[in-house]
Amino acid sequence: MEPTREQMKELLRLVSATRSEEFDCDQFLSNVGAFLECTGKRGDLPPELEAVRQHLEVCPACQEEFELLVQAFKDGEP
Amino acid sequence: MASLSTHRPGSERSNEEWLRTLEARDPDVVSDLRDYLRRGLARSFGQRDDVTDGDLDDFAQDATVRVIDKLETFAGNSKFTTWAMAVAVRVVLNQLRRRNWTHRSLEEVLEGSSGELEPRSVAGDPGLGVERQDLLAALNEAVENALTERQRTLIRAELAGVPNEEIARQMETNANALYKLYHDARRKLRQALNEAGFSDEDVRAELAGVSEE
Repeated sequence: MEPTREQMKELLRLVSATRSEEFDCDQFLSNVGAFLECTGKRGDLPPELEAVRQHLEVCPACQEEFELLVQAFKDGEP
Repeated sequence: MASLSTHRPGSERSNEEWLRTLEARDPDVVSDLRDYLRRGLARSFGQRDDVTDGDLDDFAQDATVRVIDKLETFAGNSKFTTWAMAVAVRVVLNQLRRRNWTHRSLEEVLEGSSGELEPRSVAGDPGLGVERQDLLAALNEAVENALTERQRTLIRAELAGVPNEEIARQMETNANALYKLYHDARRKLRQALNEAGFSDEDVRAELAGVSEE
């Protein structure tokens, strides 16, 4: 079957966000804690965590995980 | 077994103490970790209709076991508890995805036998400008011609919302190999668009237009 218009738009977004070197999902998991802790601080994201932000753009599964992780810490330490 | 922990329970333990005591399977610390994860998972998943209090207990137990199994992969670049919670969320989300998946084959999903996907060609869509129609048509062509069959199946399954674990299982591969296949596919599509005359700037400009719709 042909993809829907919305699916093609999403694929275009994913292709645009693609980089030559990317974290895979395991590398994302190893670094997402540091990324989460940095997002609550002022200042630029450290370069070593840029790959975490980029992975979130191209991996819907890890994006969903991250949103749930944020919920776990939303009101401070559980 | 006597507790090896000298600090009070919770996130005030140092990373070193968490690691040392969990490696020794200190029962008090294992219990503290399970309670901590249970509280966090309740925030993340407790509002869902398909998750009960009993599920949260089971999830916390499974997540605790998984965290202890993965201790050696903790990079130490965050608080131990933040990393442990990330592991726990992945454990639970994977369980829920498996539980909620309707066990259809990829072929069934991609053929639309479920009726969930509405086939609609991008060509001639009156809601798209001429440039965007050209870009999406080029992307569609790249999917057909630039990808291998496995890459095409993967891309379509991802877009259809099939869980990665289910795609990996049905394609008889593992998560890391699947991600490499997915990455390679996106790189090929990007190159194909470039070769069709659409620069990365063109694509970004079109996406900016999409986001304004």
